[in-house]
Amino acid sequence: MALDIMGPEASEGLRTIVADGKLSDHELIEAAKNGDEDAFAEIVARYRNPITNFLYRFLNDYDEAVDLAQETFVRVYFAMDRYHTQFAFSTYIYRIATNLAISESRKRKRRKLLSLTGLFQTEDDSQVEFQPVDSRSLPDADLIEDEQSQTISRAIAALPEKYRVPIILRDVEGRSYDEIAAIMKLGLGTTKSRISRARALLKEKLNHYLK
Amino acid sequence: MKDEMNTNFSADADDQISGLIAGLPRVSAPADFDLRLRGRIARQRSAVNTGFRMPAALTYALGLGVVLVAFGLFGLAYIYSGKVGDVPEVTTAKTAPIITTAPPTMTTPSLPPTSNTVVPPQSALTASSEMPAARKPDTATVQTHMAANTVKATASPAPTVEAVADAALRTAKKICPAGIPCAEPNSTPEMSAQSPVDNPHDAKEVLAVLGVNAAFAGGKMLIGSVNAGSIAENAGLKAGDVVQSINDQAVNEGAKFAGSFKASVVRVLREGKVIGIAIGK
Repeated sequence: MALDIMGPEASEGLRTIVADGKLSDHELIEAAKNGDEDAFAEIVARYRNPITNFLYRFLNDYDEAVDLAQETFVRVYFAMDRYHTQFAFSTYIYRIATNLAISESRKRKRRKLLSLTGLFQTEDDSQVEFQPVDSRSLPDADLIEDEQSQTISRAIAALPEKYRVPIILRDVEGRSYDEIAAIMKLGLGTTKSRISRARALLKEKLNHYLK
Repeated sequence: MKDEMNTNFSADADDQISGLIAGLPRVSAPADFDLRLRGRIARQRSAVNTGFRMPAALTYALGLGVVLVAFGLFGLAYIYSGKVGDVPEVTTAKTAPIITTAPPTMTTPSLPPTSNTVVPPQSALTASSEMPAARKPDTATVQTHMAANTVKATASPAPTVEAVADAALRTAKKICPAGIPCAEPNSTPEMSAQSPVDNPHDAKEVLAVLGVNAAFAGGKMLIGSVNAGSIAENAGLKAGDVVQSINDQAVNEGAKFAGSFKASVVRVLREGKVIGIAIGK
């Protein structure tokens, strides 16, 4: 793999092909492996928003979500030679993002154990990391959420990891059950069961929003 | 019918939950996402190309190794510092008070240093300074661990002295610390013809204390075996060694060692060479 994919000296031929926007993810990865910086840039352009959104819904922290989204692409970049096309690229990148998110979530739990604030949290809040109020202007207009959205976000973030990942992939990202099962390395039945359980847990918390 | 309604309600509620979640506003990556990503990749690339990164497992293993070595050295230092494996004294102090009768020197039982012994009135033990030199062998010496109060008392012939000493002991009040046995002052001390010094050990007993099983063979003290983990084994004594001396005192069949002493150097003949082995160092 060429190490100057993101550098200025791009291959003109491949840049033209990428510009068509018709290449599949696998073709883009192959092109990126062969040294096309625009191919990798196209991959980034396709997935940066979904991955950022997925991570944001998982962590309920925008800055951390952006940071982990970048880390996800860095890992894709440096592991491109080891990437096999037996899985959809989306499965591959969501799996990386999921692993990073779970790892980050566990780090937060460990930090929370060392924090005195953990002593005063209720059981219901135990899954949610305390986040101080961010007084800076929001980086994106889409982040402005009403009270209902914030309640739903907190309810999702409070779910156990094993339920949080599949419900976000299914209901936020719109991924198929098969793909979610592949991302989480679970059976289809288990995946469906977890999504169903996640919805049941959310129903208890969001009961007043249901008609 | 009821089940069907419940199922429908459940499916409806699931749809509503899905709708609520799907209705959440989507966030986008910031505008400088690509720029920051380029910088991040460039930094990691230069780190990969130029920097040597020690694998995490190796780092942990090295740390663990350092800790183990430190503990090992500490343990060895502790063992060889003498806190472990000190040579016990060979002593005959199992029996306590012994009063010799001929010569009439009397030694009171060894009392604990902290015991408050009330020494009998000096008047009972007449001053020895007035005693003729020729009479000194008949002097009865009363010793206590209140060394400053050691009084050499005299006087008269042996039976009288004994009687005085006995009387003094009977009237003495003793306060002994808890846990430390005190000799009963009013009891009559055991009489023996031997003093501790007169009851020495032979070489075999001395070596047995160190953990050596040895016996004379052909006039030589030959070590048959050394107890595992014993002081002797730690010091380096081995089966087959011929013990020549202990604390520079030659070992032979008639050799006797003082009743209370501490073996510090044992010289042995091993493979034709005489080796001095320090005990408990």
